Amino acid sequence: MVNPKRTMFGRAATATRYVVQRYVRRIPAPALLLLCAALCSMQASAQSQESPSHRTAWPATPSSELRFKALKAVADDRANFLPVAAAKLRLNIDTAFAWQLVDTFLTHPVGDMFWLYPAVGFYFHCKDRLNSYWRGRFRGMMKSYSPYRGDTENHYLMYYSAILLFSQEWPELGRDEWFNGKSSAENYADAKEYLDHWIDDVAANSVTEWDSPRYVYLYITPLLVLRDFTNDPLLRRRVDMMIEYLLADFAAEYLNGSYCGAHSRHGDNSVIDPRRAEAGTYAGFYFEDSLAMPNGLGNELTFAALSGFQCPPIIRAIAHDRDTAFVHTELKRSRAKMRSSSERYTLAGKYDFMTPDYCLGSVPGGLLQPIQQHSWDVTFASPKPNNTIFGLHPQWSAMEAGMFFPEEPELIVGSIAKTKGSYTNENKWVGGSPYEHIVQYRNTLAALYVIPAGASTHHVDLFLPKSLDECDRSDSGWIFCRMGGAFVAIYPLAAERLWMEEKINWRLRLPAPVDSLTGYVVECARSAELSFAAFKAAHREPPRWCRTPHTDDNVLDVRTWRGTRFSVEGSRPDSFTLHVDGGAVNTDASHLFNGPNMYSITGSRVIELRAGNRRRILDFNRNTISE
Amino acid sequence: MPYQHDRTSGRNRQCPAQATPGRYRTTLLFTMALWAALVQQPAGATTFYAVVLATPRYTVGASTLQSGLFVSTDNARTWRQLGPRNVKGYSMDAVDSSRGRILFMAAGNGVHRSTDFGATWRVVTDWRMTEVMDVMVDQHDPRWVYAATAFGFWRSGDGGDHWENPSGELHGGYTYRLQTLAAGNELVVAGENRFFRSTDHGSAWQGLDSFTEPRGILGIVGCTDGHCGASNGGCRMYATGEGVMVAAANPGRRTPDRLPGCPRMNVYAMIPAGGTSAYVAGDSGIWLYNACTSRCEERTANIPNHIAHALVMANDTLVAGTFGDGLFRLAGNSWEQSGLEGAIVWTLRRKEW
Repeated sequence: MVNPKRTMFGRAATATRYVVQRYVRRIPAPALLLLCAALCSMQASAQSQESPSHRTAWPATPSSELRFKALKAVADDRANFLPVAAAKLRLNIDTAFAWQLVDTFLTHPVGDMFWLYPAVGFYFHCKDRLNSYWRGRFRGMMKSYSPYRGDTENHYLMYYSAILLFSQEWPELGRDEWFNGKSSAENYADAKEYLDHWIDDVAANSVTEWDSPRYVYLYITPLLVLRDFTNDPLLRRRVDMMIEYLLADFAAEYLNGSYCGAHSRHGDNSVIDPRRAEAGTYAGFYFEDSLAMPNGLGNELTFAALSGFQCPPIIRAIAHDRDTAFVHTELKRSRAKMRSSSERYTLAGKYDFMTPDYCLGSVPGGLLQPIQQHSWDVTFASPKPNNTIFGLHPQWSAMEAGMFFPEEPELIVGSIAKTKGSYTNENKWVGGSPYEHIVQYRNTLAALYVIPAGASTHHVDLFLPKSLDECDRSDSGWIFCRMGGAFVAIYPLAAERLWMEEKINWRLRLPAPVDSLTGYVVECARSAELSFAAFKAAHREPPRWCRTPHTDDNVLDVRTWRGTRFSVEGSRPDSFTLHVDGGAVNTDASHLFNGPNMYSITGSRVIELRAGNRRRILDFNRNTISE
Repeated sequence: MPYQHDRTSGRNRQCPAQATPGRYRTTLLFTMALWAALVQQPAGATTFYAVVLATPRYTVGASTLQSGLFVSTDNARTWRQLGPRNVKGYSMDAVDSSRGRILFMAAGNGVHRSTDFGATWRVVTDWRMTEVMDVMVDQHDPRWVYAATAFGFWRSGDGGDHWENPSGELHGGYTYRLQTLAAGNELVVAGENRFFRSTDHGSAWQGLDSFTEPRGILGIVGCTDGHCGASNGGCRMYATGEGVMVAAANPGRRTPDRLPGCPRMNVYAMIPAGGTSAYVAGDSGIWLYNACTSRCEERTANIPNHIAHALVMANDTLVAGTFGDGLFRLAGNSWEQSGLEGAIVWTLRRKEW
């Protein structure tokens, strides 16, 4: 468990006082008041830390010092982003450049909904600095620029939250004053209806772009701006609840800076180095009370720093409560499917085995999101870079493209490759596969692939970072890895193994003959449980597996290091089922969340956050938060 | 040639003193009136519309400027943009009796409608409607407007003011293109793997089993005017799957794998070329196909982009919309650029009023 240093708060308070004294004359009165109020609250929080730490003693975040630090860090940037201008104006730093940024932003609008959400955030947070000229320019943009709505869940959220706030700001505008020909009243009603629908749907059935280290900030940021400036108190409360929901969902799978397990959408860089993900910025801000802006990302922190939202202590506890190992499950949905599927949304049971040293997490495979799906991984708690091991079938297809995009499937593949260059790369590290079947029980996972003729690639790749403390290839066929206190044993279910050295990793390529079974078994352990030598010794025998699953009812049989029998049965890939010691293990579809930190019955719209004996209930039926 | 667009207010560089709402509105109204006068066509004129999905610069969330709806009144040689400048445009239709005054555009963010020749536009659908692939006006009764979307068939019974998603087989399912048969009395919708026919504005649907195609998208791509030895006139309809053509009048028949005589390709557009011939466009270029002789003559020639998604005839000249290189017209045996350079042209329409 990561504990805050008792002395940290004292140092933070001193630093804050120093910064405030230094800049106090430049800070507008409202911001100064905010800082002072927050400073007081931070000092109170610091005092509460004088008592022995326990899992519910975390103070709410962010602290006033962090808010200021974040704002200052963004304000010191020269990047051409509107949140940078907002930070500069709020702190009275480099204001000439800030106004230049605003002018450019309004003169050359690009980015559609990615333009809208910083526009609305800037407008409202800096409204007191905008004279009638600047306000008029923003208002004029709602007529002269036609921001596109986009086609994903995060696009819609950015778009409709901004439309709601701008239509609220200028309620009198008629149809001829808006780019979409709707009056302010019509735009407000449309946006409000969508947002209400989205909140209810997500509370009952989960987001579709779930657990995305790449995109979660594009949910949190527009929601923060919306909760700060909506005039509708009920909507504000519901948005507050949604932010807590999303942060708790993140916290439950958070391990020492990394977002663990399967993800709907990952980035090419962050998938091989989890701490570089965009999500790290908000993890630092809300879970660690520290400033983390990996690779210069995170200018949106401006809006978080200026927001009145406080992350409740229980969510910090959820992010850090790693004293003992536990299973955490979630039910997620695919992105809406247009073709090649009998269902609009495919449900996916998400499974995580979280320990103090690692997390092993997965979804059952298949296509849940186009292009950027990440179906399973081991995430190490170790502070080393590239703290992950995972595998995939790096495929692409017109079928996949047509499933999620409306145009002719054959044409979409080429279009995707132009914008997401790795999509048609056989060496890519992100993407799901319709031929991937993953089963997991606690610390053991098997990924099985039966790849037919006509698939774009016929190999399965495993990512093994060079930052591993140890990586041994034994004569028995098992591969043993160690990073910090976590051990991983991998057994490739393949006749051939190709080791390819790359810059930061080894790529273990398993050729996958047509219609044959290929895959691997992954087993994890902790140094607190046994020594690395004992772990290796427990894996002398290879798993029993068959190469022709269509003719055999017992596809895989593994005796785990704990002595458990882990077997996969079924004659066809779509009927593979996991059995542990003879008993079938089924996906838990009845719970949206089920674990020691979060609990919700699917469809109930009641989310329970848990930390020790403490409970916080987000009830989206009554729209109440109770603790 | 460079694109033109109808948004004179697209770059508002007014100084603060000028940016008063009153003056702004006056300028705008004047501009709109001028524009309406300019684009209004005399009776009997031929008007061409090009619907642009995107430009090659397009990425999600980046600028899609210079996409959407374009109009030409000089036989598809020069083009002006109508309406929003950065939408994913898929298709368009007009109320023909209004002579171009009432226009509809199908786009990724809904159905857009103009009632003043394209001077001003309004998104007439709400958050529920997305990825609208096709829009069609019932020209017999223009109160009925239909939309094929990636998430189901929608219709409006009041000229586009209100929309509903009728229950039944097409509720929520993928629909791609709309077509009318039997002199407009039958509405046909192409779904993912099947055609559906309705004679009551989409309240009830009947699947057309002869058009069942399990291998993927099934779009109506066009017609030839005549039939080989058939006594019944009307349109012989063609549809496409993945590399598969399906042809049918009534009843239909399946043409295995490809148009006889043509290479195997994905066909995206087909227009009558007189008699039983049709021009065919797809991912292997442009071809002249004769349904009776089963001859398929290549017309791709020097067109730089061999993926063509739209075709139209302009005064006996074939015009093709490419997937990323704009429009080309066939002059003799060679193609020359005909505007919208760099555009992914999804649909071309010709309207006579």
